[in-house]
Amino acid sequence: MLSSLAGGPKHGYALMKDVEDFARVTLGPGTVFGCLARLEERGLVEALAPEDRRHPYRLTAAGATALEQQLSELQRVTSTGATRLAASRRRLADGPAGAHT
Amino acid sequence: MSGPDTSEQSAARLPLAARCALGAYPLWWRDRYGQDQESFLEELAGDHRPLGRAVLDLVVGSVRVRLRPAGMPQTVGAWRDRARASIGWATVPALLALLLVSAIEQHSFGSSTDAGTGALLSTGGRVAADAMTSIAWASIAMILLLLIGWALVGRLADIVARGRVGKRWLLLVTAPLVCGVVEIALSFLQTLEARVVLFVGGRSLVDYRHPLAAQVVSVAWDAVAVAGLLSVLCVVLAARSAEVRVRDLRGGVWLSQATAVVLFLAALASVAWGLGVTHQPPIPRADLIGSGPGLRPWTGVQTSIAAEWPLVSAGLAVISVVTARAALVARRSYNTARELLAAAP
Repeated sequence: MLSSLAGGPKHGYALMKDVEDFARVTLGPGTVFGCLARLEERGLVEALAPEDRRHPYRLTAAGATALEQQLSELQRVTSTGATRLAASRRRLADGPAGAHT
Repeated sequence: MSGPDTSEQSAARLPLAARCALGAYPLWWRDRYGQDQESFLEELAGDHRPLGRAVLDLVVGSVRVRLRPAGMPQTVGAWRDRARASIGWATVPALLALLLVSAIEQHSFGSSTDAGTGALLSTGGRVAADAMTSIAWASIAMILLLLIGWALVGRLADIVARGRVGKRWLLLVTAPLVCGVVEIALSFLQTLEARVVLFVGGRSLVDYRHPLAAQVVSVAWDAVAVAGLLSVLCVVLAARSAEVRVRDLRGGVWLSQATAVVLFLAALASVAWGLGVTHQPPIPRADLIGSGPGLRPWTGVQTSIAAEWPLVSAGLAVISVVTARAALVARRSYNTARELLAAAP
């Protein structure tokens, strides 16, 4: 949700479609607004003035910091996983003896 | 979209299930996110996507919001409404529990063991007989608690009647009270097995021990239970829109806690009853007092109970957990509302 809002303010349905596009996860209205309420409570997103009965939501400065921290954590995990996977592939390519060392 | 569109007009276009799911959220949530969610559903329908999954998601979301109210405004009104809704969740399921308990009491085990053939009963049978007595007391306690609850809600509905809802609710408030009194009378008749004979013109018309009379009492019991359930639902709807003060809810909080304790004991007793009955060896039919033509053979009753008691006990356990959780939330919300009220200038 924070990654989606990093691209600019969005209302609930636009947010759901965006998340569906890049994360391939379809969120329902209960999940989307439940999540927005929690993020709003923690001050990570804020609602803008309503447009046609819908509130657009945008990332706050605290939200941007939280997203940055989470992305760097994810990056650390993915880079560690990628490094270890490459090493594992090299060991497998070296044969069974190499796999035991 | 052409022209201005009010929330009521757009909501009316949504299917009934979607509107019910939106209405399942607390009032403060609907004030804050209700229109956003309606627009979401409209756009979903506009894109020709199925609404079923979204409605289910809304239902699950409403339960989550009620359990953990993220973003709830720190106002007296919001916490008062949360306490009121929790009292409803803690007490109304007791009606369902009463139906389950009456399913247990339908079996002839109670009257058979009360017949005084104690020598025929194993330890399991005696445990089951004691459990049956506990269940009977629990059901009477539940009826009394519901009566007290209805009286409290009646007070709320009286406030409603003075307000915008109208006096028709008062009729609905009195209906559960009448139903409760009739239920207690019927349960005494069933417990005591009293011989009720109605004489008209020197001729007996109704004999409670007569199979037909017993059938009539049984049907009357079910009808009263259903009528009471419907009336309570109406009263709950009335109480939802009542303007109540925080202190009006104190009795309701105590009531919900007492209901939770009684339901927990009833769930424990139902487990003891089921285990006891299934460990009781078959009793010869001739040794059963009250083994008239309306009674099934004892072994048949045991087979039936063995199949049913885990379901009944599981149902009571689930209701007990829901009630206990709601009673806890009611107490916390009531305390928070009082603190906010005290801190208000």
